[in-house]
Order: sequence, then structure tokens, then C-alpha cells
Amino acid sequence: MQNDKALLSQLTESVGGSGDEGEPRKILMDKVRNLVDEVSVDYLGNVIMRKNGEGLGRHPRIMLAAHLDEITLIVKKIGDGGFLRIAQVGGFDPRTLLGQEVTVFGREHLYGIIGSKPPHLSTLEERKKSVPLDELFVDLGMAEAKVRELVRVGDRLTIRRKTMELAGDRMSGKSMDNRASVTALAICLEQLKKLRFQPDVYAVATTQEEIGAFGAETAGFRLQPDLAIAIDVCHGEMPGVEADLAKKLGDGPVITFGPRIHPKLYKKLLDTAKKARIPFQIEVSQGPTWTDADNLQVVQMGIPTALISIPLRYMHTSVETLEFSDVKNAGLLLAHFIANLNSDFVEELTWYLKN
Amino acid sequence: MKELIQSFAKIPGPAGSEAEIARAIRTKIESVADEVYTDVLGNLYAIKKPQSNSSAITKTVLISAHMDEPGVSVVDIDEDGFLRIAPLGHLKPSELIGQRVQFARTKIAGVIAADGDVARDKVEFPNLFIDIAVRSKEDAHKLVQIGDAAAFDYEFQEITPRVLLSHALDNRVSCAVAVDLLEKIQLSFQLVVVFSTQQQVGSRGIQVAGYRINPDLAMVLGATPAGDTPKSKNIQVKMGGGVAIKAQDAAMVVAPALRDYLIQLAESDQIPAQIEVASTARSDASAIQVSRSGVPTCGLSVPMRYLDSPSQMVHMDDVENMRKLLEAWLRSDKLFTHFTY
Repeated sequence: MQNDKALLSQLTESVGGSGDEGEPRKILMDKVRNLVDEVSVDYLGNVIMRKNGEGLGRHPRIMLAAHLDEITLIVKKIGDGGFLRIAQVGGFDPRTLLGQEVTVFGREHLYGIIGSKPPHLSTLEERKKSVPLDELFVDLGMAEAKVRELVRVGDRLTIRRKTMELAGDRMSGKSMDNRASVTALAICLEQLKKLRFQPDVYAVATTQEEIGAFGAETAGFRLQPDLAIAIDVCHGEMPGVEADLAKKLGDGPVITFGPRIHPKLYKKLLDTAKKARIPFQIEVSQGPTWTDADNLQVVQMGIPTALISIPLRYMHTSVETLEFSDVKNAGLLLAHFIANLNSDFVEELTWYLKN
Repeated sequence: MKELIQSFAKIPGPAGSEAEIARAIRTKIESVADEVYTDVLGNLYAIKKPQSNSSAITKTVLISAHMDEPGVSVVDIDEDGFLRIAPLGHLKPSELIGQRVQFARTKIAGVIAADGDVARDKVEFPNLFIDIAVRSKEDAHKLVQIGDAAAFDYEFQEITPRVLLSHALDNRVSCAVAVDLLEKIQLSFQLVVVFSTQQQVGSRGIQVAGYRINPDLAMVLGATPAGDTPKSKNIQVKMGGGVAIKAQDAAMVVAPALRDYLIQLAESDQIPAQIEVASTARSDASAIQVSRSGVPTCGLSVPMRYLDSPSQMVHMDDVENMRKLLEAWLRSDKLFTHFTY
């Protein structure tokens, strides 16, 4: 458990924005190399971790998808005085950016802060509103000439944040969305060492989810699995959010049902959790899940797809907060699901409209 | 090159009505490409086979330049012969008032105007119509059908000998660069140039082209808004400041290895270049990148002033630098090896 928490800390303190996931990719690959049969990386940077099932005959192929990327910012313009103007890669809540310390990944790693006009100099109207992204800037504390030497348009930046273990079992930091699920993948792979299972497992840390789930889409096309499970985060309960829009931290991973979810996979996940005595919660989604699952479902001729989520407070800020037992239980649920899977079940998946 | 751009820019080709611009391009490339064909979405393909003495395993590079431009299509004709319209692509209704248009199929001219009872800044598409100067629905029907599409209609101009002004420079400039390339280049791998359709309505054409060709590497030629005009919002790219190497647009991110390779080539060949981070502009790059198992995709863009208007402005220096960097990239040593993880 402590090892798994250390992995989550390490992953969340590394920086890997969409399309630029090098740092967390390396950490993950080092961690899982001995847990699986093969690790490979494709053109979009997806990390594909294959673990072979046992037994004769055709092995069902299962794909697990947890996105590796995180929301970051990008330098859009170097303005007069060397102040950087910035744009989103993904969707930071701009209300939370003012006054933050950032690291700019220029020719070297540079520390800066996000500033804007102080309240004394703002009008009453301006003070009532949050500062839009277009009016925020990054101050690197350097002369303009030096900034231009070290920073280029297109360089990434993000908030500097140490991951924190809170009292109890909770952790807080940036990019818990979705390194929590990547950690759950690693926990699942560890657990599979102790279990017997028939399917060939392709655990994929996918790229570019925050800008359109592109990594999952192309990895799904390459692997053509018999079924896929996306692992992502959902909203955790907090003041001001209706109970039906959020799940409880610590009450277990969340299993989603809805039109993007294959009903038999959903049921199998519930049965697995009950049988293995793993706590779980249920979420119903009427439309898009806004996860890798949406894209995976319609790859090629269609993939039966399910979604498991980890409840997370303050999504898309740098203080995303979760309870670690949910991460652990998500990993266990995945492992038990895989161990309970056989070819008969997979073959029936195409026929769900019949029953 | 300028003549080529001019000849392409004057042809109306709103999204979905690219047949005429495709024919014009086809005439230019038929004799220089090894194979030319079109597909069901109207994409025009030009194949340039590898040099025969090459022993290398055949790789394929796809270069795309979309042919279409924004426009409007007729959704209804009223009793007095005024044509009600819907947009093809991202157009702001209030900015269309007073614009001259030309229908792609019939070349009928018209002007866009708005209902008299709506304030100009409140105008939405249902309030707009095209006036083609007829008196009745019957007369209008002789000239126009429901579904006919029209594009902006303005003269191509050289504001200075080096600065061009026209509608549809996005993306006929890139079409001209690609045609010029096809005329002059021979490579040791297969080159497929796709003149794609329907970029304005969601990069529909290139989706199927990417699937069909399944290239090893793709390059998207396009345009990006220039920010060197008064009080423009946080855009570093300048018109005349060099070809823009895409780092990010509103729909995709270029892998750092691909982007940096182009930056290095521009530096070592002393080709003026800038870096594009465009948070509002979209391109065909996002759609090619997710083709099949994923395609390494990068982009070069011509900086363009007033990109969202019928008066688009480009500098020939930037166009020529796009052409140079494109060729330097295609001829570079590590073209197929610089992007593996």
C-alpha cells in the first residue's frame, strides 16, 4: 500500500501534459517492466503493457485504458517586459490560476508566478469577476532578453505542487486526474501475479485524453480488443454540489451505467465486486462520459466498453483530492474482473440486444 | 507561385462544393503526378512514386491542403425571391451583412443582407438572406436551388508586390505550395498529396483520406491567424515573420519531437520560421493524427491577417518559406526516425 501511494506521489509530481507525456511515461514503464510480458510505446505515446493469460485456445483480449496526460498550460506569446501570455492544453479552471507558482519548461526549468492587476488598481466591476485567462500572465522575474533566450512559444508550463498525504487515507495534489487511475492499473497488474486468468491483458496508459481522448482511440484501433474498460475520475462529494452529481470518497470505485456502457460488462463488474467483497458505488450517465470510454466504444466495428471511476474532489485544479482506498479497490476490482473472464462471456457480448 | 495562388483563389469552393477547384488543381498536377484520383468525399489525391533506384523499404508521407472555404447554403426561398441561408463553416452572422457572394454551381452573384427589424449586433442566421435581384420565388428558382452553396466574391489583389489580399487564401495558398512541390520534387519514398474537402465543417474529407492512405507520417499545410495588428489578442505569429511551425491548434497538439525537428531544420537551413499556438483555429491535423492506429502528424501554416474575414492577407515571403521548409523536411535525413519514443 505504501509503495502504491509512493507511486501515485511520484506520478503526480511529474509533469506530462497532453501530447507531451514523457516524464510520467518513464516512471510508469520503470515500475511495471517486471510485472508484465511486454511494454511498448506507440506513435501517439500510449504505453501498452501486455500481460498474457494462460491456457490453450483463444484468449479473450481485454484492454484497460487509464489516461496518462494531465491538463497543462502553454506559452502563447512572449509580451513586452518578458511577461508570458498563456493558453490551455486541456481545461484548467482559470479562477484557480491567479497567484500560483508555476514551472515553465523552457530551455531549462524556470520558476515563475501567475500575476494580474492587483485589487487596488482594479475597478469595482473588475474585482467582482475572476480574471480571464487572456488577462493573466506569467512573471519569470527575469529581463525580457533573458526570457526570450530561454523560453519559446509552445513551451509548456504548469502549477508547482507537492503531493500531500492528508490525515486518514486521503491525498491531494495536481494531476490526480488521472494518475490515480494509472496507479490503479499498476495495482491491478501486481494483483494479477497472484491470480490465475485466461485473458490477454493490454493495460494502456493513454495519451491526449484531456484534448479529445485521441490516444485511447488509436490504441483501441491497433489492439482491437474483445472488450475495454476505461478508468478515470468522477466528482467527489463536497459542499455546494448536489448529492446526485458526486460520489463519496472512500466508499469504493464507481461503476458507470449508461448508453456508452455495455450492459453485460456493467453487470459483470457489479457481480465481481460483490463476490470479491470490494466496495463500489454506481453512477448513471445519460450521454457522454467525457472519458476514454466514449471513443473506445465506437472504434472500428465497436468495442464493448465499461467505465470505472475514482471519486475526486476539486477536479481540474492543482489540489485534486481523493481517498487512496478507492484507488486500491479500483485496481483490485479490475484484477478480479479479469480473473473471472473467459471466452464464453466474451462471445456473448455481441448479443446483448437479444436478452 | 503568385499566379497559381491567384488562379485558385478566384474559384468559389465552399465546403461540399469543391468540384471546380478540384478540377483546376487536377489540370495542374495531372502531368507531374504518377497517379491522380478522387474519392467519394471529393478529395483529390496525387501520388508521386518513389525513385526506381531506391532500395529503401517504401514509406509513405501524406501532405494535406484543404481546398474548401467557408460559405453559405440556401435553405429556403421566400415569396419575393430572397434566399434564406445557413452557414458552411464558422462565420459570424453580423459580419456577413453587405458581403458579396457567388454561387459555386451557377456563378450567380448576390449580396447578403439582413431583415430590417433586427439590430445589427443581434443578427443571427435566420435573419440573413441573399438578394440576387429577382422579383419572385419563381424567378429565383430558375437560378438557384435549395442547397446551392455560395462563397465570398472579391477580386484578388496585390496590395504590394509581396502582399496578397483575397478571400479563400486560407487555404488556396497551401494548395498552390503543394502543386508547386509536386511539379518539382522527386523522392526516395512515396509522396501522397491530398487536396482535401470539407475542412470547414469538421475535417470530414481528410478523415477518410487518412484512413485510405494510412501514411507513416503526415504534414498539414494551412493558415494561422497573425497577431501583428493593433490590440490583437496574445498571438505571437506575425505576417512576414516566417512560416509558422505548428505546436498546437484548437483541436490538436503536435508531438514535441516532430515540432522540434522542424524548428531545427528551419534554423540550420536559415529559413525564417515562427511557432504557432493557435487557440481558436482548427486544421486537418487533428483528424489525420487519429487515423487508424495513429499517424505522426505535424503542420506548417502561413500567417494570415483577418483570417476570419473575406479579406485575408498573406505575405509572399511566408509562402515561399513554407515551400522551402516543406522541401527541406521531405529531404531531411531523419525524416522517418526522429519521432520514435
